[in-house]
Amino acid sequence: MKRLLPILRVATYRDQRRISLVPLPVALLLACALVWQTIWAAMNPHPAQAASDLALPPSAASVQIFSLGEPLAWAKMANLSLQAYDNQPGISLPFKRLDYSRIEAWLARILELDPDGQYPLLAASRLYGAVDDPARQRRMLDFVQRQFLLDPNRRWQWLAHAAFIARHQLRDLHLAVRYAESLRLHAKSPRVPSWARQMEIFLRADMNEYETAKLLLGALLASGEVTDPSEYRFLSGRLADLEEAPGGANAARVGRKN
Amino acid sequence: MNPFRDHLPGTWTIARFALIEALRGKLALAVVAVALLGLGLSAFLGEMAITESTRIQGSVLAAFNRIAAALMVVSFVIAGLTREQADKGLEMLLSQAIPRASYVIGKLTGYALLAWLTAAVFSAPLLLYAPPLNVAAWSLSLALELTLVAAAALACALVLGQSALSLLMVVAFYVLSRIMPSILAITASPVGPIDSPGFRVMGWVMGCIGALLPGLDRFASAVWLWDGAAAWAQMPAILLQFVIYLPLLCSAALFDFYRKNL
Repeated sequence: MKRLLPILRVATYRDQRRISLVPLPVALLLACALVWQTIWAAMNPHPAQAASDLALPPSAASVQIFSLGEPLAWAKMANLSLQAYDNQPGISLPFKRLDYSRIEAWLARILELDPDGQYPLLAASRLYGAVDDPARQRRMLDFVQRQFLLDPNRRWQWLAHAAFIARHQLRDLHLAVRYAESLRLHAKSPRVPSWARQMEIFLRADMNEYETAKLLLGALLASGEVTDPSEYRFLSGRLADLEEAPGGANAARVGRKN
Repeated sequence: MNPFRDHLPGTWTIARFALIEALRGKLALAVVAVALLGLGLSAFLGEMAITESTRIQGSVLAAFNRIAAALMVVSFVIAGLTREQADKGLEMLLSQAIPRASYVIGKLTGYALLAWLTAAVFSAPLLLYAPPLNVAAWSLSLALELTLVAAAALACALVLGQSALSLLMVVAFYVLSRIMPSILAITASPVGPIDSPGFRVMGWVMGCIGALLPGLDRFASAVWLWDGAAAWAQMPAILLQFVIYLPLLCSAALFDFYRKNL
C-alpha cells in the first residue's frame, strides 16, 4: 500500500494549496470559459449533413491491416457504426432508403470476421428485416438462411425468426416452410429446442400438406428425440388429429393451433 | 505598474526556450521524417489507384498528417513538461521572480508556435494534390487544432505530472473530441434501447461530456482540399470555438498550477 501512495497522491490532491491563492482573474476566466463553452455547445448543434451513401465494406485483408490485427474489435465496432448509419449526424434515414445490397455486404463481412457473433443476424432478421418492404424483407431473410447454413447449430434462432416473418408478415407459407425445413435438416445439435425442428410440421399442416406433416411428425416421434413426456403426448395427439381426418376439421385444427 | 507588461520579457523567454527545446530535441527532424513517410504512403496508394489517384493521395495524406501531427505535438509537450518537473527545472524557474501565470502562458506560447510550425510542415506536401487556397484553409484549421491539443497536453501534464497518464488523457480527449458527434448520434438512435434508464443516463453523460469538449470533428477535414468554399465558410465557427476553448484550457491549467504545492 505504501508503494501505491505516490500514485494515489495524484488523485487525492493532498499536496494542494488553498483555493484562495488562485488569483481571482484566473478563477473568473475559468468560470466564464466554462460557461461560454457550454453555451457554444448548446447553441451549436452538429451540422445537418446530407445523407452519405453507405460504401462497400473493406476486404477482410484490409480490415486485418487497418485494425492492427484485431479484426474482432473491428467487427464489433462495425456492428455499431452500421447500426448508427441510418442516424447520421443531424439526419435520420428510413430503412427503406438504405441500399440493402450494401447492408448485406457489411453484415456478411462482419460475420466473416466474427463468426461467433450473433449481432449481424439479429440486425438482419429483426432490424433490417422488419422494414415495410417485402422485397427488402425477403433479401434479409435469404441472407439469414445463407448464413444459417454456415453454422446451423449456433444460428438456428435467426432462421426460426425468419420463418416466423415469412409466415406472419410476408404471408408466404412456401418460404416459411423452406426455412423450417432447413432448420429441421441442418440444426441437429441437442441445444436446438425441439419446437424449432417441429416448426415445419405445423407449417405444412397449414399448407394442407397433411401427408408430409404426418410423415414428419411420425418420424420425429419414432426417432426418440422427443424425451419430455408431456411434449410426446402433445405431439402424439396432433399426429392422431392428422391421421383421423386429413383435410377435415381436425386437420384444420392442427394448423390453427400453431 | 502593469504586472503583465513587467513579466512579458520573462514570459517570452520561456516561450522561446520551449520552442528551442523542440527544435534542438530533433523534433523538427522527426516532423519532417514523418511528413515524408506520409508522402511516401500516399504516393504508394496513388500508384495502386485506377482512378481519382490525386484525391486518394490527398485524402489519405491529410488524414495521416492530421493524426501524426497531433500525436507528435502531444508527446513532445508532455515529455518536455514532465521531464522539467522531474529534473526540478520547474522549481528552479519559479524560484526566480516569475509568476506562475508567466510560466504557463510562456510555455503555451512556445508550444503554440511549435504547433503552427508543425502544421506548416505537414500541410506543405498537400500542395502537390490540392489548390493552395484550399490547403491554406486546411492548414489554418490544423494549426488551431494543434494549438488546442498542445494546450490540453500542457494542462494534463501540469495537473497529473506523469507522462503515461497525461498521454492517455490527452489521446482520449483528442479521440473523443473527434468522434463525439457519432457517439451522440448512436445515443439518440431510435434503434438503441431508448427507454432503458441506463441508456438514457449514458446518453445524458455523453451529452455532458460532449458539451465540455471542443468540436474537433469540424476542424481540418480532408474534404476541404477539394471544397475550399466549404472550408472557408466553416472557418468563423472554428475560430470562435478556438477562442472559447483556448482560454478554458489555459485557465484550467493555471487554476491547478496556482494550487500546486511545489
